[in-house]
Amino acid sequence: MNDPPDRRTAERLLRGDAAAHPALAEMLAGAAGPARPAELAGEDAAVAAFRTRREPRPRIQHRTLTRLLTVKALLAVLALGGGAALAGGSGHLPGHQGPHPGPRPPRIGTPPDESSDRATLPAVPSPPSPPSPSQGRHASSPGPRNPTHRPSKPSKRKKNGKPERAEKSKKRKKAKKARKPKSRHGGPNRSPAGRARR
Amino acid sequence: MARVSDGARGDDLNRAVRAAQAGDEESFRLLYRDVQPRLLRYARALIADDSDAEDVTSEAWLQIARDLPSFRGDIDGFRGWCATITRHRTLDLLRRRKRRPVADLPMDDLIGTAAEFDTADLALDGLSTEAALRLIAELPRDQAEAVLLRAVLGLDAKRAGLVLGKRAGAVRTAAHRGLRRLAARLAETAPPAGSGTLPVPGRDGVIGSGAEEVR
Repeated sequence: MNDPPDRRTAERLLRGDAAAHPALAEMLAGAAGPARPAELAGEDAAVAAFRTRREPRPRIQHRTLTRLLTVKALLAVLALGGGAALAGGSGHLPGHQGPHPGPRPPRIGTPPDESSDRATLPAVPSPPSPPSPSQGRHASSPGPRNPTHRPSKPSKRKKNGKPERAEKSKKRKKAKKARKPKSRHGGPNRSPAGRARR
Repeated sequence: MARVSDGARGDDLNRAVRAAQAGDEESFRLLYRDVQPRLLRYARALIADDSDAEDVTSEAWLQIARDLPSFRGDIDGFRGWCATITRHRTLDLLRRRKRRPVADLPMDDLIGTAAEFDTADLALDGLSTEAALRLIAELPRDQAEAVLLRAVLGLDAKRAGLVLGKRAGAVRTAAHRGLRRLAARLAETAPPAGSGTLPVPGRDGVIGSGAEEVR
């Protein structure tokens, strides 16, 4: 009757099958026995807390308001991020200076970008060259850097002076995102995403 | 021990969760009476100081009352949520206690409340709630938590795992180990061969009930 239960018996017992092990079931029933008055001594205090919580309604409004503001802030940040991409595209950021002006405005937007970046980062196989420096940089200022992070390519294109560049860079950004997953399977080094990452 | 969402009582409590969220005080009381004893037993097993355990659960209820509108789920989920809150507060207290200089510790803590519970008493007064809880509290903490969350809070392995930050399988293992130990402890005290001192009938009526007898 007091045999140690095997795993399955223990599980049956915990699911409420008292017949699985009557002695233990008895004990567990005791542990879950009816409430004793002393255990409920704090009821009125808890109810008082429940009551006062319900009185100041504004709190909820406040919460939704903050939420709204957050959404607005996010939108603003997205707009800023787009601005940064524009600036990057229009050649105001000479290749070697990329990292400096880049991070400032988009930093506000780090949270959303960070998450997306983090999600994709591990998916891209690390290039054969030592990954530590590039990874470090990604960690310090993630997503938003990408637009400004192509030091060599955009500067080359700048010489061509194409007018619709800003649009193009946006398009490329989108295309890049679309291509990223593929780079997992195919050679990462040849894909533009892989190149940009290094 | 009967996940209480089964049956009519479970339905009542599910309704009570929704009504309390909408501000109904009676429903909140109903939930308190169902859940508080479970929380307190859980906290007491971890803290080994009854008044501290009461403080912890009182604080937990302040938070429960405050955050109830943002809770989503049924009565099982509610119990798990409450257990999580209580557990965080319990662990906070244990951490603070650790930092406290030894001189401030109450005598009980120094002696180690684990002064072996005399299992001979068990045979005498049957398996009272108190005796059973003390036996469970003797288990290593992870086992005690797994057993309590499942048998006293009435959570399934998955929900208990959410409370503990473990996978369901790990909870099952811990609970199984705990129950093996408990069975061994019971064997120490059991009167020799089938004397049948512990009447079995009507057990189902006792299991997992909780509040109704109290009022």
